[in-house]
Amino acid sequence: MDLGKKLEILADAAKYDASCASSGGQKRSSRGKGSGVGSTTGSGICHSYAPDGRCISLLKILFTNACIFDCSYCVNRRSSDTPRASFTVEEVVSLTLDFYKRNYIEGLFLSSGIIRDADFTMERLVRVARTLRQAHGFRGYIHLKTIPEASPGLIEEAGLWADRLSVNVELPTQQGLEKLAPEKNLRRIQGSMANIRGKREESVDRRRSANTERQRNAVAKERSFAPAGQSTQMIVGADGANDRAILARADLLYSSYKLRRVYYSAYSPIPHASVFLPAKQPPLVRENRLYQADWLLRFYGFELDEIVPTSLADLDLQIDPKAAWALRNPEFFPLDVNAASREALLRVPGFGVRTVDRILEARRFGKLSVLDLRRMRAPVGRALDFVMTVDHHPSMKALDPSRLRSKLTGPAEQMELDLLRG
Amino acid sequence: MLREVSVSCFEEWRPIARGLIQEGIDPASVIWNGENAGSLELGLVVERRAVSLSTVSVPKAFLLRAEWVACHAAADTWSLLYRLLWRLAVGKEAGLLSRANDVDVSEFLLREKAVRRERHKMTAFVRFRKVGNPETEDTDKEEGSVARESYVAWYEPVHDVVRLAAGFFRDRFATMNWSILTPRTCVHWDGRSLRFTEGVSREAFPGEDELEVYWKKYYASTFNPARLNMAMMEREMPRRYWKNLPEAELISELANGSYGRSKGMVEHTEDSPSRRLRKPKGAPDGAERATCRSPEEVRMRADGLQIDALRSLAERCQACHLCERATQTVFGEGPSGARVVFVGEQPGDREDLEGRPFVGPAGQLLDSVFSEVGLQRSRVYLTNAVKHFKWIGAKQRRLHQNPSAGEIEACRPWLLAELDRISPALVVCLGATAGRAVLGRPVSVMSDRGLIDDPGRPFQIVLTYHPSYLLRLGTRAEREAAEANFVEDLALVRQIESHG
Repeated sequence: MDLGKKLEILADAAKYDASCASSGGQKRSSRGKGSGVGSTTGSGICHSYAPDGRCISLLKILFTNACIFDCSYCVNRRSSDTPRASFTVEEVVSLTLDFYKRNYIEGLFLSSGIIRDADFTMERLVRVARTLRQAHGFRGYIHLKTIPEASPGLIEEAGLWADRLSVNVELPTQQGLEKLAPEKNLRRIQGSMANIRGKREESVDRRRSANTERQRNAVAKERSFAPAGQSTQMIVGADGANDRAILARADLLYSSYKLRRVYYSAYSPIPHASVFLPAKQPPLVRENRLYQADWLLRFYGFELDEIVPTSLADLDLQIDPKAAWALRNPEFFPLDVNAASREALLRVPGFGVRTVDRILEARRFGKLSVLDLRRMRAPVGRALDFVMTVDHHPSMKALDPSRLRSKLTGPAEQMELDLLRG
Repeated sequence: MLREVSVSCFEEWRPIARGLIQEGIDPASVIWNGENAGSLELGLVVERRAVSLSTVSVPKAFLLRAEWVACHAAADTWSLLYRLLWRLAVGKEAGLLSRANDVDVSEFLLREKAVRRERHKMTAFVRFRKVGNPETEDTDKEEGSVARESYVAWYEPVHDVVRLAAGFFRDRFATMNWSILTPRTCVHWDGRSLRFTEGVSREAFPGEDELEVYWKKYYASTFNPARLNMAMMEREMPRRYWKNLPEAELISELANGSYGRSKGMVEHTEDSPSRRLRKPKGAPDGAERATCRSPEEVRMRADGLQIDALRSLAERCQACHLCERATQTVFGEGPSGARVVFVGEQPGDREDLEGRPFVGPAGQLLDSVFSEVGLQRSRVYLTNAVKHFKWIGAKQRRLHQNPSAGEIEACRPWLLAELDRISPALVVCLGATAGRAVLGRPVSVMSDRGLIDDPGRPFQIVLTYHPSYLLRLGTRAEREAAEANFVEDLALVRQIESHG
């Protein structure tokens, strides 16, 4: 099979993984280096966008789409009739370098179907990364998918060559996995994440505890373990798990394994789809709501129970989760933008981190009016029902939940999600 | 009297602006490249006076940021910058740039953001084409030297960000020769220095690169037709960039064909049951076969098992709900013939990750007291009353929580089985939870510390602090006193261990 055909099959097979980030971790440069190529700046770059609106940052491909697993939601499961292909190590290496030198990509995101067994497969992924780093001096970004059942030695080596490692949990519960992914096991997956967190912290500790010049020189030569951390993905809408189950799992994974990101991927119909799965358009709004909720958990100081109270199983699809919280807690408002704390202002529907920080800076120089907010480009239309300024006091009627709900369900602006972050 | 000035770049603007300030020429009196700076919105009245050179001082942050804003294509950018400079240098408006609600600052921030975005997009959307390099191909190469590859790109930024982005390309592609051609400024890198030249027209750009075929195949294949979202795509990759992106010529074709493709996928499902049934040899089993769902089941199934079999049986214990949020069971560890067993409370964050008891901060303290009193970790058996980590999340961290009486009770069959199989001479209870689990009744470390008088047991019992209690003590005096007691208790343990 020619290289172009392989690329088509193995890129197509890899596209259901939502991870795209090329950010985080260390900064590297090729300046002053005699050979090799590449750099990482710490913040990622999206080199293109596909008509599905998703960014193209890395060459995202599978090493092979042959697989001994049989996960119903996956186009590559062994019972699917999809055409199969495999790269060689050299082919992946030269495609990565050729694309990189033309500034098409930030680096490589390599995953694979499981062939023969976990170690056999993992060893091939590691070999690609090792060849890029050692034989070609590649300093761009590498993200390797790791297989929970692979031996710890291979994971350790993977972490030395890769910027980021990821293990996909895919579904939030063991019951879900048993139904749809009979070879996967939640305890093993989390054990693998624990192992990666442990290795990464050891590597960071060695750097921190280097006190003498000699120790510092020694650790500077060492490669740090997965400097951009680890991430995972959960598929939304393939099994019956509700949003609370999904977010509870995400919250647990963030706390327990220090994940940089949890990606939510709406189950999307695939060619050769399994009869066990919903044949319908992907739940994209739900996916977006989950990302918004995830952001609230991580950057806005919300607790899981505030976002999805135990009485609710799912997020509101009509309004974003922050607005939904505000409607459930009208007594929290209105807030005085000239006095309220950062934590409180972050809870105002429409206010993002940047707006709140601008308010805090500017109000040191004088009381703020609605015009001031507008000049700061705060999304005033949405926020005014919830805040007071020197010249604006919303009436109690303004905070009536049913009135607000109908107002907020109008054409909503998308919450700003910096998908590069983390 | 109006002053007319013409500038083309920030390096030119800076000395001119400084000179104007020194002469006391207010913003309303300057016309930059034919644009009037306009009057100050706040109606700031400043006397026209000459100020000495040394007083033209503005925050360095302003100049650094102004250099970016100066790349903005809008014609009135120079006058905006001069107005702000005036307000900072002459008006002495402290903290001006922190006031995003100010008209000028608001505009400054907007343009700064636009330039930053344009610079970022340039690092993203420049596409190099590989070209032959006569310099290295035609001449004899030195022994061992590697031919430098050469690349050229054509790019059309809205704001002239070539200088701002040049360093990025130098750092990334330092070992290649490359040029980026644009209508206003071109930049070239030869491995030694960046060189900037006048803008050129598109004709200077080479026609093709065979790799673009592969790039387009990749672009088409990575697109998911079931998720068509052109609006999102255009927000991040506006149409004005498309003409210089080789992949963009596929966009309309991909978008138009997507409906048929995703409809076909929804309608066509398949499964070949024969292939589902055969599980290949290397495929792992994912099913979670819970071993014990209740303390009674633990008691029943643990009966007659040796310590290693107990350990593997405990791996998938679900006798209480703590297994749901923990990574793994942390079973005891140490020689099966140990004379002393140490019982702690429960694993912590580190223990949960590693699957071994006493490897976190409390374990380190225990290790240091061990060596102080002459105990060897390798000769004792270490375990916990509760084998799963109990925690609550707070700001993305896991905070330890005390196990409840019910949880201690649920885990107790494991502990009793361990004590039975190891059959030690002495059991050291670290903390009240361990004491309760071993003795089967509530105890207080404060009042019952030391050797416990509890006849009828096959082993002696020492009750002492849990090392993490010592780590939590607030004052140094408290900690030193408690540590002395702890050392004293472990010295007693050491004595019993060696003499029996």
